[in-house]
Amino acid sequence: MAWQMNSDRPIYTQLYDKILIRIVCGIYKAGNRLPSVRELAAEANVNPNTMQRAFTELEHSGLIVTQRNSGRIVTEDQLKIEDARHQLALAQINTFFANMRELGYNDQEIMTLIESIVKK
Amino acid sequence: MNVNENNSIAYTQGDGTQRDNTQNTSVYTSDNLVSTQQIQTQNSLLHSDENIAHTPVNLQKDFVQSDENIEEVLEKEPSENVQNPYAINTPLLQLNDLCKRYPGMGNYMSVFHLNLTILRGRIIGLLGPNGCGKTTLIKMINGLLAPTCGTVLINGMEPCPATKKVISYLPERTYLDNGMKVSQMVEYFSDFYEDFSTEKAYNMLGALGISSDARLKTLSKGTKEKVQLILVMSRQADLYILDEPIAGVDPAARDYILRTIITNYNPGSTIILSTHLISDIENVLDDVIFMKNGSLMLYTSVDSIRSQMGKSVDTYFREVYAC
Amino acid sequence: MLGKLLKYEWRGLRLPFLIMLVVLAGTTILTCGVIFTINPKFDETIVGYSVIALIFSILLYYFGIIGCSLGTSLIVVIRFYKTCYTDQGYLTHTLPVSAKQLLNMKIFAAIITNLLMILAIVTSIFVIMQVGLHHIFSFVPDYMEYTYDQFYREFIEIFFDAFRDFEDDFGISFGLYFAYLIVYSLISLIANIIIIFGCVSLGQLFTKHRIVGAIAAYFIVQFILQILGYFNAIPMYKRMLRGSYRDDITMFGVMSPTMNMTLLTVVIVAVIMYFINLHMMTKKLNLE
Repeated sequence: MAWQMNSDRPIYTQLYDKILIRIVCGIYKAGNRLPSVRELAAEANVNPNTMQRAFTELEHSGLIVTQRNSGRIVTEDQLKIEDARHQLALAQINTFFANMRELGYNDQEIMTLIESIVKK
Repeated sequence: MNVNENNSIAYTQGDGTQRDNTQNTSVYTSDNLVSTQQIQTQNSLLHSDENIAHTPVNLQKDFVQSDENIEEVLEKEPSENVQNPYAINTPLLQLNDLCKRYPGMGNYMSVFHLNLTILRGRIIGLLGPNGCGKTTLIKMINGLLAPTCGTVLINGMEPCPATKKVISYLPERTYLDNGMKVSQMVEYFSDFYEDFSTEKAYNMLGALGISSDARLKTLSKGTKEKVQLILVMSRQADLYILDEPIAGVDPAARDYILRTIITNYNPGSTIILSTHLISDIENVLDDVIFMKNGSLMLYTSVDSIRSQMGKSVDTYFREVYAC
Repeated sequence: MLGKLLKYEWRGLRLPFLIMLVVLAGTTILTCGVIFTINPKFDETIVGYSVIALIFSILLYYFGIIGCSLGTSLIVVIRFYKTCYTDQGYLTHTLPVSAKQLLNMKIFAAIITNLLMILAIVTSIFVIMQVGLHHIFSFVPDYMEYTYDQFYREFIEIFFDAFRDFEDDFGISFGLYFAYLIVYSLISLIANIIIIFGCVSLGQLFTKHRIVGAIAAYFIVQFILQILGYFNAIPMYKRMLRGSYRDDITMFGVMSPTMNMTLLTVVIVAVIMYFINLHMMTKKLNLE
């Protein structure tokens, strides 16, 4: 099944995000090998060059490491992964707050609502 | 070639200018998109082929074989790059002031002073409304039509048996001999094309459930189109030209076909896809070419359109060509 | 590459060709069968019917032969048109071969096919003749001590006597004339194939009516050849008139210069057509 893509953002940034999530969730575990560009491009139904861009960006971010002879592996640096997870979480929360504010809630009301849901 | 502080790699182009590989993504800049509005008449031409001409050769190296170390590949000199042992400095396809006027059409030129350089290792969409000159252009590249003026150069050569050897063409129509069986058609291709892989063809036929003993005239139109596509993709050509490969085919087979195109991809070959089903193939394309009234309107990358216009190619196309 | 082109030309032609061979064989067998029904020992009226049946079957056979030879040309031309100028043309003209190789192999395959048909026709005539002779011989009563070989030899003798006299009247020995006719027919066969292909290619100039154009081109070319033929014949008539006053002019002497000129004309037209074919397949190629 092709990966779901938005039509308005560059594909490689969306691929970057999706692979990042897979790393953070542990689908691609730390220190383990990533599938090859070609395999992943076929799975996602995207151009291999685009997938390559995403990989390059991930490498710049330090989340994957290219090794001689054994291809690409997820970084073993747990701090980096934690950091990325944290960033993603923050982004989610910010989006949530932005949406709620649009509905007219203020921050206090939002916190109260969250507490009441968590308590259940 | 040296590694900059930000881990990008700098290299010198043939004309002496310095570039680093982070700039590769900006080859197609917003300049490309600005002038599309100007082009409505025959007489206007494309902008920024200057950019295209200076496309760094190393763009081809962006794609690395899965098992190979990026740095190792980029450190090699272009001629040592084993994925691209072909004439690095000769573009795969070069159109110089190409024109075609059909006899019965007065002064109207179906292809009007087209200038285009296409390199290897790209998957390119050729888009435009009906009658914009796409098919005429494709025929000229294949040697099925002689230009009125200008030249078509494939690997530096005009269309001839040597260029036909490295071009794999899928026309919009069924061009197979209806009296033959599927297996005989496979044999035919294998006989005439050295780069044809019989094994690959049978694998794909099996995957799509097409019997090799069937006579072509007994197959449905969609199945015949699948057979044609399989034959074309089983070749290891430098240039694949696919004219509406997925239009007459069911959605499941479409996915299979697009996946085949992706997995067949190699940095030495380029695929040109001409289609109206833009949203289906957008994710597979590297670059797009927009044509109108025989002229080139736009030649840019999908990512540029998305990042600069914030729209998909499909949406942007509808805007540009709105009736 | 040439061998492969030839292989697929043959593959495309063999089925229609075999059908025609079957038709030919059919009429041959029919004629032979009718021959067998003729038996002088039967009642007169039955013999009468047999003879009428024989006449009809020979007529049928004659049409069969004409049909098969025309048919062979037809299947060859249809294949040329189909592979070069219909949708199949997209495949044919993107093969890694030059237009010249393509054209040459098509002409070659056409020649071979026509020669095979001629061979088949000659064989079938021979078969009928043998059957006829054997059948006639079978009515010779045994007591006459007459073998088939003697009969056959006498039959052949009739021809040889005619051949011997031939030279005196005609001016050239029969053997030589026969060889001349064979070469003449062969050259005009090849030339006609190239001319027909050329007419098909010329038809491509009329983008809306390609087939009609080809047929029209064919009639026009034939018309031109006829006119040229009349012009060529004028010296022959002059020679004939002169010949009635003199004795030293032979039949062959009268005919052969004209025949040679006609052959030359056809060859020149064929050469022109060959280059027209090439031009239409390269610079002027315009598939639908």
